[in-house]
Amino acid sequence: MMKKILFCGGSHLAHAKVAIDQWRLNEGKEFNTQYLITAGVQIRNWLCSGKQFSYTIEGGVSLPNINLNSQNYFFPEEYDYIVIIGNYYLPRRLIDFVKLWNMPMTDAVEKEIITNSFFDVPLGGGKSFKNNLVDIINQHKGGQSQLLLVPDPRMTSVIERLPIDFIEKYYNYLQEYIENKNLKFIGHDPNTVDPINGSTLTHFSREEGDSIHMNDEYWKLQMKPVFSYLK
Amino acid sequence: MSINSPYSSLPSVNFWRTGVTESSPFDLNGIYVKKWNIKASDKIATAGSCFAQHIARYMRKNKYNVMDVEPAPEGLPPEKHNSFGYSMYSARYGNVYTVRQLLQLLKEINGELVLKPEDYIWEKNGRFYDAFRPNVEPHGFSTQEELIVHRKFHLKKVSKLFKMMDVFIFTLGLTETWECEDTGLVYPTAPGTIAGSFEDDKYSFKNFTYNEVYKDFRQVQKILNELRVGRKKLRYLLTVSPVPLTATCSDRHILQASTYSKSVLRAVAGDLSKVKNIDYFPSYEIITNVASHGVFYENNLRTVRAGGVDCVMKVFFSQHRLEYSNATVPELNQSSADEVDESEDVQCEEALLEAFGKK
Repeated sequence: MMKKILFCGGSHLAHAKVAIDQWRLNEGKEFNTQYLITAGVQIRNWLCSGKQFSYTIEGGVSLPNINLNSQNYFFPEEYDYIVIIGNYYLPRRLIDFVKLWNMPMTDAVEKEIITNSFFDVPLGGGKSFKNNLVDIINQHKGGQSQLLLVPDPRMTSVIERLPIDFIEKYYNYLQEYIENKNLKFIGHDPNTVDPINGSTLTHFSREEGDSIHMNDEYWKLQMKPVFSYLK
Repeated sequence: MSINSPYSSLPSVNFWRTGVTESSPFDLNGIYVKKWNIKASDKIATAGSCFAQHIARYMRKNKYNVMDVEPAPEGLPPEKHNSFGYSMYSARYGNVYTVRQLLQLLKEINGELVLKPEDYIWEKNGRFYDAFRPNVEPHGFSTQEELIVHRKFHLKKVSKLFKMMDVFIFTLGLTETWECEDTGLVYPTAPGTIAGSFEDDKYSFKNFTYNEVYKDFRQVQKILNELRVGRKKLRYLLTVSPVPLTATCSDRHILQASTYSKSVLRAVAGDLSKVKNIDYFPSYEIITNVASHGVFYENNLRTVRAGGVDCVMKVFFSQHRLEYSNATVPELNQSSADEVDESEDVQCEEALLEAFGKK
């Protein structure tokens, strides 16, 4: 019986799709792959208005807060693997606060702030939105499903504004947080990271000047441990 | 000839029967008459023992201008604020149980007291704790250098606070403390309770007398006056914590020790408040009122229930009403009491003593 995989994500999923398709063609023939668009600026804005995440199998549509298991909605427990690519926990919203803190911070306080920001993403002015994609899917995935998380690329425009030690702390806490939930965290491929400033190397950009979206070469490297895990 | 007694013309609150026996402990009219107004624009600073946290919280809720010079960094979840010493008082100094502790802080700010790192850095399991506020970093600092940076930052902020404030609300909590014999420094917790280690040839038990507490407070006033040159006269609102001692290291029964401590503090507050710029607010009397039969305390007969705090603050706000419409007098009802009870965890190192005490 073919194993079922659900790949979730927004634009990063779209950019990773070539790598996923190639893998399926060559090594992943026994897998049934499906896609679900789960993120993006519009969805985030919609979340800010206080709505709850919910997903359709076709993706791209955010719906009111209703039971995930209702008709026409995807059933996470049906999948052997669910891979969430990017757009789940983002460091970018912390940047302004890093500047605003203006006070010495200890590891413990930073850890609380960072881990809190994973699911309660600050937007400034006391506003935030609930970033509960992982928790919702994790809650509904069922005992057999395995959830893998692939982070966003380390976007230059975001990362270069942060102290390097803060970036490392951020990803360490992210990994710890995810692994504490017994989920699989796929770290950044070290060959994609600039050792000086901790951001993704610019030659992986999909287009010149785009510090957010990465090319096929990047995603082949980044997805390699995911594909190795899928058996 | 008519019989005239100096008591005959006194109001009912001057008599035990009408003032206490026949009065509701939940609604003690006339127990407090303010000396001066607190305006919406007045900058208020709060400090003291853990009961003072309630006062700060209620005043903030009621739109008073309670200063916070070390606010929690954005992104830190509100439920974590207190465990990191944020949002408890006007600065991140944690509980200031004794007047001597406050005096030390002021002397450190004005340069009169120059500390060596070993005077205030306590170690535990490879982590470092600020001995003067050991609870503000629950996991301690990773290095001594980091702790020193944080303390310097804290002192800078407290200095600003004390220069800017118009009203200082201070809750006197304890007379008992632990003193370093070499330096004379006192600590809010016994060495070895949260961090550090107890060495009986280095630290000794100290129980302040009336004269010592009074003298310390006068010195506090003197230093604050010096710090605040050019600013208008500081007003003080003193309270005494109604929370009994958790444990005593004196050779007295805990009930005697607690009574001594509160009596000294109450007497000092009473004498200090004879002048115009110092007011005394009787939170101690409201909670410990015998007419309440202990109802304001939790089952441990020590922790003040949310309903008790509500009663205290109701009396406070009956006198101190802000003139703009946003200010409200809190209603005493069970739902608000429950809400406070569940959501507000007052940080009190003293409670740690229970963990170390005899079962």
